[in-house]
Amino acid sequence: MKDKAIKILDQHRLMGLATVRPDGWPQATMVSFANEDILVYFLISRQSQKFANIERDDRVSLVVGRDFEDPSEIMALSIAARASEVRDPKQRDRAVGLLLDRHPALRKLEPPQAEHSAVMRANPEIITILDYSRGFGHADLLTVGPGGLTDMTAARDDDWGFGTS
Amino acid sequence: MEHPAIRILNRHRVMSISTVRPDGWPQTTVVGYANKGFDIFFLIFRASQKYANIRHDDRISIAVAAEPVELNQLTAVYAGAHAQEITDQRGRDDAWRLLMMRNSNLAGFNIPDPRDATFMHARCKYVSVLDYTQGLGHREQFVVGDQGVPTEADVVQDGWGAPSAADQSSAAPSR
Repeated sequence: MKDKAIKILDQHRLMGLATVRPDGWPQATMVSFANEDILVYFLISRQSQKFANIERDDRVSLVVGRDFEDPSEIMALSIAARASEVRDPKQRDRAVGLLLDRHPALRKLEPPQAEHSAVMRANPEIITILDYSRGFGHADLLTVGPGGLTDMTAARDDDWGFGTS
Repeated sequence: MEHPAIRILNRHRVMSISTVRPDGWPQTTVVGYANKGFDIFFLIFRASQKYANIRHDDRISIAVAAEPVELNQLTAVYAGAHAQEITDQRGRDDAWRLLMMRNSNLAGFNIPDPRDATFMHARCKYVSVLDYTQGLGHREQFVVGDQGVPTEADVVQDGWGAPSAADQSSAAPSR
């Protein structure tokens, strides 16, 4: 099941990212990402509201999925994760390399400068895999602990075809 | 002339919607929607976590964007809004009609049983429009008033700190 989650991540490069503002208001933005296994990397401006949000509260929510014609095509991930900055220069370079590999068009731009932009990693804690090819609203829930995948609940069918969980 | 943000909203039919769980954890999911101007309509299951979240705190944030082929073609709308359940039958019928028009893949379905699913309405309030066709990082922010009319826009040309659609900055201006 974890492989399925990674496969979905591998097939995408744009995600919805939710953080929480200090006033408690959620904030949704679209962010380019690259993943390595289930670890998700993204790059944000230090001036951005979402960077401030994450510095204050590292809990984020990610969603990866596409529009669909047939609801049975819905294959998506909704992830609860903790985000932190990649500060080690070597790790940062590696993450930037992964992002550029996933988004070749970005090579046309100036390389990101550490003083302006922060490379972030999101460590998933709970992953919901939506796979409507297995039934309307079919969702599997994975819990990821420090030692890797620790639990998988039974599939549940809990939503109308139009949304996720 | 139609507002640029509305033009973007009109072109799409799925959005990321973020809510906050009672434990303070954000939750984002993808939801089909239709809009009439800055008014957004969507349908969610009563058993879903996001319905519980909205019942607990009606503040939501939406993001509407498609992946651009070229970065200089990126357009997106982010908005903070309050979401309310549509409880009257006429409102439900209107919302369903709008959703059916936007999402032809719903054509085979009957209007969902109100005991199972509920129609929601949210008027975009704190709005950011990204339009990189006007320059990388071009962003406008404004507030939509109670009459559905935006206030004067605040234009921002974001410094290009992040090299991607990666930094699409704040969804809502500071309040």
